[in-house]
Order: sequence, then structure tokens, then C-alpha cells
Amino acid sequence: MIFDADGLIKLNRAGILLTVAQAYRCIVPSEVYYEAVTAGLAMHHPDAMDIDAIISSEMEIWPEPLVTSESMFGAGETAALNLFYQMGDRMANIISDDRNFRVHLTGIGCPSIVPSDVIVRMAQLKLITKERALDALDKLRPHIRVSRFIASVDGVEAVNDHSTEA
Amino acid sequence: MTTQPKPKKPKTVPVPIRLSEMLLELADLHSTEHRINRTDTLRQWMYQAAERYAVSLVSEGRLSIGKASELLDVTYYDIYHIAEKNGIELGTE
Repeated sequence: MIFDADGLIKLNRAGILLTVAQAYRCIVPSEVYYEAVTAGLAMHHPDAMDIDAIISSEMEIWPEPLVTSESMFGAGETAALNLFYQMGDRMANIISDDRNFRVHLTGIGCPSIVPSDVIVRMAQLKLITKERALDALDKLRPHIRVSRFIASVDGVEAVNDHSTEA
Repeated sequence: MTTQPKPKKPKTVPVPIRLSEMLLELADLHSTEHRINRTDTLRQWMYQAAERYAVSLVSEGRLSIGKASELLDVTYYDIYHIAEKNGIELGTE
């Protein structure tokens, strides 16, 4: 999975970033690290320290230099996109809930997934329990659209009740 | 770990602009109340409006969060805060 800063911050606020990082190969472009951690720490945003600890212990930082600074997207989003192309891995997913960015990703055939769907998917794969998934969605609720929240809760509720956390 | 140098402060340029005397009177009232000068008041008002506008574009899917944070010279976290403060929903449908 390739992260942009939005994906990192939202999954961390959902309290599930560490579990995601332990379950999947997660790659963070250095520009995304700057946006979510370096810039966040400089402004004393509390999430930045947690995200830094999780990236340091469980994720890979991709030290790719930014190809272009003039882009329709921010540096981190551009770097995530460049990384996807460099990897040449059509199975790689970019995790982002940015509406504008995701429309572009869909348009160019780049797989992407929103943080709430990551939670639903992990519940479906029984990597987390339904209860944990619903708790994560509750924490994510203030940061996503109501329609997305309801759809995600429905997705988790539809998971077989006999799930056990792996 | 710091893999990226902090970006330079954005360049500023003077912009001559004509404003109504009534608006300036209101600006002066605000300036007195907040102990700042008229220029800072107008800059503050403009920046607050720009923040709301940029985040509304993000909400509509016309601008990415990363680009908005660069244009406003704020962090990702600030974008979420501005959205929350103004009751603007972010994210995909």
C-alpha cells in the first residue's frame, strides 16, 4: 500500500494505522512523510508523533526525489503517484480519501482505497474483529462524509459474526 | 527523521486595490478592537476567506488537500481544522 498524508492521518485517527502497517507492506514517500510528520511536528500536531513512531517501526520510507514541483496536486500526492508508476505494481493501492486525487487516480486506472474501506476490508478478511472495525469507524466519523460512514458501517455489519481477530 | 527541507516562505507581492470607505471604517473598528493595524486586518480577513474557499474546493473535489495546503501555506492538519471550523465535509462520497 502506498500512503498519502490523508491516508496516514485518517487511519491513525481511527486508531488502526499500526494494525494496517503490520498486516500489509506499507510505503510512505518521503514527501508524504514530510507532510504528515515533519510539518506536523513543527506545528505540534499530536498525531504527528504517533504517525512517526508507526512509520519508523513498521513502514518503509521511499526516498524518491520529487519529479516536478509544478503539479495539480501537492508534493506528497505527486510523490505517491510517481511511486506507483516507478513500482510498476498494478496490485499496489494508494490509500487516500482526497476526492480530487482519487478522481484522478480512477481516471488513470490507478487502484486506490479510502481509509474507511481499508477498515471494512480488514474486517472482511478477519484481520480485525467487527467490534474493532466499528470502533475505528466511530473514531473516523468526524473526518469523513456521513454517507461514507453509513456505507462503511453497513459493510462491517454485513461481515459474518463469527470473526476473530488474527 | 527529516527527509525534506522545510519549504521557503511564499513570495509576497504588493497588490494595489480600491476598497469602499465603509469597508475601511469597519476594518478600522476591527483593528482597534484587536490592536492590529488596518493592513493586518484586511490581510487576516482575506486569508480567512481564502481558507474557506480553498477547503470548499477540496470538499467539491476541485482541489486536492495537498495542493490546498501548499497554496494556503498550512499543514494537512490545518486543512482538517479549517474544514471542521467551517462545517465543511471532506473526503469521497
